[in-house]
Amino acid sequence: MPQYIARRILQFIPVFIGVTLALFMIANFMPGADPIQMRYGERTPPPEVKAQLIEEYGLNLPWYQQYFKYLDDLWPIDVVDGKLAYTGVDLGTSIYTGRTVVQMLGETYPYTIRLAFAAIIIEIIIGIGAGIISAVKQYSFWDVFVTLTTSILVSLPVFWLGLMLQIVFGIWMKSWTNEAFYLPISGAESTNFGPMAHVILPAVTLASVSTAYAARIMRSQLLEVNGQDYIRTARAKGLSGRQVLWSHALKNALIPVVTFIGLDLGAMFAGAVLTETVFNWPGVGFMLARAIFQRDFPVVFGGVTAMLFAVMIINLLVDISYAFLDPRIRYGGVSE
Amino acid sequence: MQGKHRKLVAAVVALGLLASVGLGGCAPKQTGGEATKPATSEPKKGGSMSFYIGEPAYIDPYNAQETEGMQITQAIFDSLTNFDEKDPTKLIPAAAASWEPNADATVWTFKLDPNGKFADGTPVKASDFVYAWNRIANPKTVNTATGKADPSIISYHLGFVKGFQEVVDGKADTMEGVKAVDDTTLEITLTQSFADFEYVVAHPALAPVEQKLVEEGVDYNGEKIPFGEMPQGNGPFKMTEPWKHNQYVKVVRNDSYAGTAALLDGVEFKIFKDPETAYTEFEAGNLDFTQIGEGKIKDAVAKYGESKDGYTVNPGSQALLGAENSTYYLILNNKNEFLKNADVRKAVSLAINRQAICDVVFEGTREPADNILPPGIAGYEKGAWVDSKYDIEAAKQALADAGYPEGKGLPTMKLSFNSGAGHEKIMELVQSDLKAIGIKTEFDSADFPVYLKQLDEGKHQIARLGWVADYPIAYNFLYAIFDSKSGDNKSFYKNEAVDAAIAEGQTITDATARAAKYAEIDKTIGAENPIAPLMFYKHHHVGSDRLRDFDFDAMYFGHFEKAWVDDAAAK
Repeated sequence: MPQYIARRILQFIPVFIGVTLALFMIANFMPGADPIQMRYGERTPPPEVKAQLIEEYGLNLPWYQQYFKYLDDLWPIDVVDGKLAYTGVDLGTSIYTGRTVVQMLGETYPYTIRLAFAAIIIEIIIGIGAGIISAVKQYSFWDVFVTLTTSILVSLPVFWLGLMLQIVFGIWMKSWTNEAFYLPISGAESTNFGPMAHVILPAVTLASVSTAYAARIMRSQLLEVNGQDYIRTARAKGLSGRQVLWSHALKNALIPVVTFIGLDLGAMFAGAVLTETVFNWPGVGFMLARAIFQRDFPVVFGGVTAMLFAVMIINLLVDISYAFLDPRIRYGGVSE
Repeated sequence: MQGKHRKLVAAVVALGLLASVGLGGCAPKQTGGEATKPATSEPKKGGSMSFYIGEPAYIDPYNAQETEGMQITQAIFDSLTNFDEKDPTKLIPAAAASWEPNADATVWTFKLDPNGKFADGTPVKASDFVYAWNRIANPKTVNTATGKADPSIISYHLGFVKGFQEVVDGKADTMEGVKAVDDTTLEITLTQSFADFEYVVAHPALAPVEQKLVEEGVDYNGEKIPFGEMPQGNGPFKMTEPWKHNQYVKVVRNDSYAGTAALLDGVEFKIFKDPETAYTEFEAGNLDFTQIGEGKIKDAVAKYGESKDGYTVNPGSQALLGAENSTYYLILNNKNEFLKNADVRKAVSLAINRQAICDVVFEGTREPADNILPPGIAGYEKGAWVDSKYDIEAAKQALADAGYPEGKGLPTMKLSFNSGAGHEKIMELVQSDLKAIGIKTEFDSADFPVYLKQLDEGKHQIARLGWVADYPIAYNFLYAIFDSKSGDNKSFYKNEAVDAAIAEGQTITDATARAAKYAEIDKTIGAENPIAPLMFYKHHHVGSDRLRDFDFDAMYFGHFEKAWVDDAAAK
């Protein structure tokens, strides 16, 4: 296992260099790449201030020099007074707000993580649960209901679903119940509601499509596993349906679902721009989208760097989890 | 199956109710909603209001530029003067109790209100202005949140102050022209006459700041918070907790305030990513003041009632549609081979049906522009730009006079605009109007950053822009858009007589005579049509029925200091 983890970390290096290098090249060669002008909007910056800001942010350097500076700043260990010292990760300073990218990520990432975990919990409970029910009760009302609901959910645009949830649970319910019962429709916290209440509607919206896919994958995998010889053998041995399901079928059927949910969690850690926008959620997705529009390159590079690390860690954890689900899977050696 | 179906419906409803009961049970009283009850007559203290803003870039005055940050800066700081909430062209005392220029408006003396105090009770001294202004001018100024150099991008406000350029060039650390004569006397020396300087000093960016707080931070729960995250000023409100990025900025009444104490206990500036989300929150009753969502203006007016003066919210007159001090216009590149012909520019201006654009695209909530100066600016005269009207026959004649009858001989011109910001519909109408007189155009749209770069490089032919006043004075429009030395003169109009006249106008200390002078200059420019003014922007905002006497002025500033709330009378 340790060798496997080490190998995966080493594999991350070329991915990291490839992504960040491509990003730097795109940023430098895309048209209209003038972040200083963006700060002034439709006005013209005084030439001397513009020149100073360009120098301040290193925008006068060739792209490869900017890239090496970025790598150097990212590396947390430096030589200070002739000795190696921990100097911290420096992801640069936002051109638009003048604040450090680390500060900005520190403010936004906890909200993205909170939303991602809430959505994943919904995905696991509802998605896997519905998939199991659907497979176990194949061709029943519940199977049809799950199939139909998941078909509708995968085709619903996220922003539309979000708006509908806002209207129903934030506006109509407030009116129907004379303001006694309703849910907050935007933001991550307020004086009237706790943080858990704020996360419900965005998490349901964010989880909707993935939950539907998780349910479908779970259903198809479970049906496939149920048709295998060893399940028939287990039944022939006199095990109850429940024992067969929980002890034999589910563990095998779960592997593709875990892969899907793991990758989805990684994607959610990269921010959910639409959901965050509809629900005014102060996460990293919207921060990044805004930074791209503003050509705020340090924020874009810093945000992508953080996302790369998050996705890599999640993927690694997903891979490791396989070993627990299927003992036949061994890392770094021959499968037994 | 029927039984199962009923169970399902029951389960769904139960889950919904359960979630709501468990988590929304402590719901607040609705703050928005339809207005039905009249205002009570007596203003009363207490309560707070919420106000929509986007995430500000800065709330530290030294870099206050965009409207979001300036709303907060305006609430927690008082500059030397202030704009009257009903008529921004009138100035009222703020940190300065009185002021006067010398005979040629090159030296200004401001006498500070001796009772002026910062939120922590420290008296406001002239030296606090000296420090604050030098902080803006100095390119080495650091961002208090990072400790890194982060020069002010709005130092141009001080461009006429003596010694400004030396500080910018690094030859001096402080501006020679900004002097604290004593604790309550601030003397400003300018490099040239500037009779409108009293308007410049009303800008929220030019407020005083406490050097100690900027350099050491602001105390909050036993720790030091960077000044830029929790600025403390001398205004009617103060911050008692740091800026919660992407969520809110909360301010409470400043009891040390030297002026009339605010009636509101506080204001919560709620940060939303876009006006549509904010408007949904308003409709849900969770927000007191916001922009009206796109395409919903007529509905909002019908539902909430239109404010009579266009700027003040009271129950039943909650939708604000007052004119702003800003103009939307078409740049006509005066260096272009064809557009340098004044008759071609005249034809373009006469060909555009501005009323149709306002009606079709903006539900009648913008006004056709007959001038570059909006009506709220001293110097505006109705119809001063004689060709800024729709007259298709005159347009055809002008084109013929230019030597291009029915557009023959003219190439297809580029009609440039930034894409994805709602300009497409306007440009479609402009394109069709120009086609009607024989001028063929093709769209040349680009992403905003690309578009700005194109304008900067002068590659455009006909392009859109908007100008929002920094201060409600004609000079702010005429110098910026038409002076040949201005970087914002994107039409590249050059008239040395006009340049001289604009500067000369600032030597006239009598406000009426100065307005007349600028009206004359404005007419001269208008006769040459270097640009084609299209529309005057108007508010499209709405307040809740809790709000009383809340003014949102033509300069886009909310006047929280005089507003109050009445929850008892609200629906």
